[in-house]
Amino acid sequence: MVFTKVLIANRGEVALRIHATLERLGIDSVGVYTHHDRDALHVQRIPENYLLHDLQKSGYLDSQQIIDAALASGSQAIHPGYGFLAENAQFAKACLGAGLIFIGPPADAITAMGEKISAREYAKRAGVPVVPGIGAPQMSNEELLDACQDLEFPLLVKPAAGGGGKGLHVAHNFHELRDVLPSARREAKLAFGDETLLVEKYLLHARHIEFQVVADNFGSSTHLGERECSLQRRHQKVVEEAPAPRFSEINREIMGAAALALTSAIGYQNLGTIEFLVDADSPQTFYFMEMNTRLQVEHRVTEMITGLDLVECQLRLAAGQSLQEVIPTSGFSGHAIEARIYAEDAYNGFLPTGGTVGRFTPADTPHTVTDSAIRDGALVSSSFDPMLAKIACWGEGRTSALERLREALSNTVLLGVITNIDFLIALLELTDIQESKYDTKYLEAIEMERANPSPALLSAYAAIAAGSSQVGSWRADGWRLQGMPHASIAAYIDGILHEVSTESGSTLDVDSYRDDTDYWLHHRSFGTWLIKQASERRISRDELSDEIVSPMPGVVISVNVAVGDSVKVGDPLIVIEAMKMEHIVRAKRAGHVLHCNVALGANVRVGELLLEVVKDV
Amino acid sequence: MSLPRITSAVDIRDPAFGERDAAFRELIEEFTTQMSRAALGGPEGTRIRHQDRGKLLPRDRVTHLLDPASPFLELSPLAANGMYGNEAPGAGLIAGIGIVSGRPSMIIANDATVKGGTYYPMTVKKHLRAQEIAFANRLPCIYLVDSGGAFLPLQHEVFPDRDHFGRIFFNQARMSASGIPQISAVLGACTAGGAYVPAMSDENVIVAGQGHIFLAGPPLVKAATGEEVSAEELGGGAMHSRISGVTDHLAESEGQALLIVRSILSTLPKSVSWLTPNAEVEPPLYSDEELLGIVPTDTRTTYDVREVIARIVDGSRFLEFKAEFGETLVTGFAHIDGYPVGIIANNGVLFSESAQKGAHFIEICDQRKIPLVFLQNISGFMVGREYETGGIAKHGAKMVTAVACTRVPKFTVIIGGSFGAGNYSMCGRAYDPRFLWMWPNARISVMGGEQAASVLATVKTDQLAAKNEEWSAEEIEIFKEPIRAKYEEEGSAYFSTARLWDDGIIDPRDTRRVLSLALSISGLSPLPDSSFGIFRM
Repeated sequence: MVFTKVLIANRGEVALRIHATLERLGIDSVGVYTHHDRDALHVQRIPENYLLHDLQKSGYLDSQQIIDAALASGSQAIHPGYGFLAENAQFAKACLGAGLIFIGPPADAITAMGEKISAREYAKRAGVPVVPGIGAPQMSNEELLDACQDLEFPLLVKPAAGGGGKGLHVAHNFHELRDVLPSARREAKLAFGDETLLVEKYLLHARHIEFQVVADNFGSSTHLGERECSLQRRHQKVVEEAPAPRFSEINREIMGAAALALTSAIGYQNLGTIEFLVDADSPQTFYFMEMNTRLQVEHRVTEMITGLDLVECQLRLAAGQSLQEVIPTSGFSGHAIEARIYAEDAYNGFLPTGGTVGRFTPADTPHTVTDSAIRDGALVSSSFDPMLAKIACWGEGRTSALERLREALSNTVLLGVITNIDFLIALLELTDIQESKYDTKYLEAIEMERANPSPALLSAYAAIAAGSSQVGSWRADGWRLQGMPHASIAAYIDGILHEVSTESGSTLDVDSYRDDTDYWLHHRSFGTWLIKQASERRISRDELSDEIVSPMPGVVISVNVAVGDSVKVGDPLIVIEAMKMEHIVRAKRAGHVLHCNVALGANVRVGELLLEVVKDV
Repeated sequence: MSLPRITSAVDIRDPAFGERDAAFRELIEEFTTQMSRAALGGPEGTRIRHQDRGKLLPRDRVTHLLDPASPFLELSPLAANGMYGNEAPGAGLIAGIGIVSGRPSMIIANDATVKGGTYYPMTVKKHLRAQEIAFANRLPCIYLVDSGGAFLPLQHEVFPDRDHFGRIFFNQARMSASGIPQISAVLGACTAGGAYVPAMSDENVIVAGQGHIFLAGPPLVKAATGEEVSAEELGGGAMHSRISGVTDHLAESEGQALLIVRSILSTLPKSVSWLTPNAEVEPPLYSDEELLGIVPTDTRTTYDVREVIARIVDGSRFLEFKAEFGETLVTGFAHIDGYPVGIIANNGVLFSESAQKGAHFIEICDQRKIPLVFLQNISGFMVGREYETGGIAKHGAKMVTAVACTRVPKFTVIIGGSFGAGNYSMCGRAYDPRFLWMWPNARISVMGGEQAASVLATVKTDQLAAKNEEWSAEEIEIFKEPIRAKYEEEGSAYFSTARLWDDGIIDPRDTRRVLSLALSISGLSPLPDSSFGIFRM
């Protein structure tokens, strides 16, 4: 291979993923990081690192600083990973201009596929079916509305320059469409710098199936099969598998051929993914959705069934090797499934969570690969992607792969941040998932409720909670003299107060982590639980008191309210003059005036009760 | 180097073992019944009304206050049992030691379901005893106050004397002065004397709308001055926290008040014990269940007390001291839950030699700062001319002196009889053991009922003889019977524990745990220096 040194223009787990391959191939890795990431795991693992300054934008998005770092380090190539600059044609061009190899497709291919409307046109020209829809640059809202008359509702409004599920809106009828267009435009402009919108038929019962394509620099291309990625929430993938279940060899041939037709049509090179929407009831009906001109997050599942290292493939193709050299033979073996662990409350509308990782221990189960860059003490914030880790498992068949993934998730300990791990475990146990009866709406439509914590776990909690500081005779077993009731303690779990009973001498193999007064517990059968001890709170004066007292001695020069008046927070009630200054006494809470003790012109002492406001019930 | 093991000679298949076991289990059943009944507190209707007002029952308050699943070493749960027409279960007070925010603490909680939490004579005694234990072991005191003050019908037994109500506040002040924190939570009424418990505390918490503190409640104020005032205005939490400054923290609920107390405790410095347990703890080799089949319920029946020791100490390991001398007293070194202890146990009546041995052993333990555990089962010192001439009184006095003067913590468990001067030399209540417990089979009195009846009958016979009169055997029996009955009743463990002659009755199987809990806190108060070497007796 021509490379001896490659710069990884990314962070987190993907930086580590690329580094692993480079290291295996004996190529030196160069890392980059920003101030926020100075203690990040990728900085520790990669031997040589360059600091990127967050100037107008995040350092990871700053082409110039990255290219400078590559040149300074003597790298021959830049691997962009995914996200950040991975699909930025300008960056690809700039690399070339600086004499560096961009490990990815040519800039033109990125441009062609980067914008949704042009990508649709390319697909149409290559004979690949596209979702019925309308969209063109400079099209006004009125023009769009007119053009949409022929389309069947519901419709999906997308930013033409968008990606990653951002800025999507669904309109169920003409009125909704009219209402949503202006805001969709504003959002598109804000998020992607381009207000062009694309309106497409919204497929209600579809699967997301994508093809992994590979092309060399000499016009040869092939595909490495498909991935089923229908389990999504907020248009972000959660579970991915390969091969797609309920998908015949004929489907694979037809869609694979379509994918390769597009690949060739745009002169694509290196690795890419072509995403299709497939009718969930008849897989022969499919539409081109978009092409991702980079490595995918879910590339692991393809690697597992092909035995290939896709990052190595990228490097070798970028280095100018032919497809024949890079992938001399290809075939599929077994089944692979991946689940993404997000910092989110899956039982509460998938709302993002955060916090500090108190303990992270990846599963050590067979045929399992965990990709992650988090570690104990890592701060999980909203500034980066909410994905904390991804776990991929291989099995001889789908059933065994599913079982292994469930086992791996159960054995993954991640405490300190609420994650979707337990949700994923419960999800994988559903018959619909086991029988692969789901579509892209499935995850947001199912109603799943969290089971109650098991009594065994709670008694383990009780023992851990006190046992952490007490040993010997004061050990936390709730001991009492003869005949006395056993001990119980109070704890809040998911906002519900539980009385926790303790069983003397009960032991349970539990991983625990204490975060201030809260406890995080993990047990491989009972899942992960955040147990909050009730916390203390004193009543403040304001909270208790509806009584308004004079802040200083002075003369009442204005009384703005009378008994019975309604007041809002901040309303001026009384004005007191003192020391040649007027002091306005305002309402601290909304309510009505119960009684008023002062008259205009009265002298008041400090602390004297002026009036009382009672809260309206 | 580990201590030698005791080899048990108990045969659990022996029918006699089974009989003793069955008899003891009957005692345990009675004990359990009494404990469960007392644990309920006041009458059901009162408890329901208490809870309807949104208040927690005192036992629940204690549990909420304690660290999750903390053990709770309760004191005298059967206080006032059988007294005051059985109207005051537990004397209307829950006292005990538990862990609060990591600190072993004395908790004293009024039970408002028992006559409004008012203080009966035994309530005062229990409160004072809990304070005494806290003082001796330097435990922070937490008062969960919900009391109407003195029980007025018995004011003469509650108010005026040295060890009456006023002593509670004296103790608070003295403990505070010596650096033992006094914390209270006002969870209900604190009227009259009760008002001083929070007022005398270092730091306190009151529940808004529920806790009240006043020297005189609204009815008394109206009677005294004609002033009409609501309880909330007169002594509510908002008033005391904002205006009078009698209280320091205002809580919106009981649960919050208890949490605030917990946070106050978390700010206290942690005490360090000079008594450190072994890192490795070996459980006894023999099961404590066997205690029930070993110990006869009739205190007159003899058995080898080493069988009891073997079921209490670590690894059943016991290094005897002077095993061949004064054999009716067993002395030696052992560990309980890792804590080193010197054990002194009766194995028959005390002779001069046994007393000298006991005194010697106590001196050694004192010198080595090893706490003493007395396993008391004593009918008394040997009587008769031979023994009197041998100076048994002075030898007994040596042991009593040693018991009285030793610096080390002492723990007494009455595992059988406790009669006469034997009680003194074996660290009875008067000798200030840190704790004194009784087994349900234990009996305590100046002498046995039969002996007392005989002595009194002999005295009477002599008086009659002086008047040249006689009485028949039948008359003597009629005379003796009520004396025996009186001793029978007054000698029982229940009679004792009701009057706070002990710190509670314990199940023999709890002995090891109870001693271990007590040992763990006993090292929190420093030992004074010793001033004499060991006298060989």
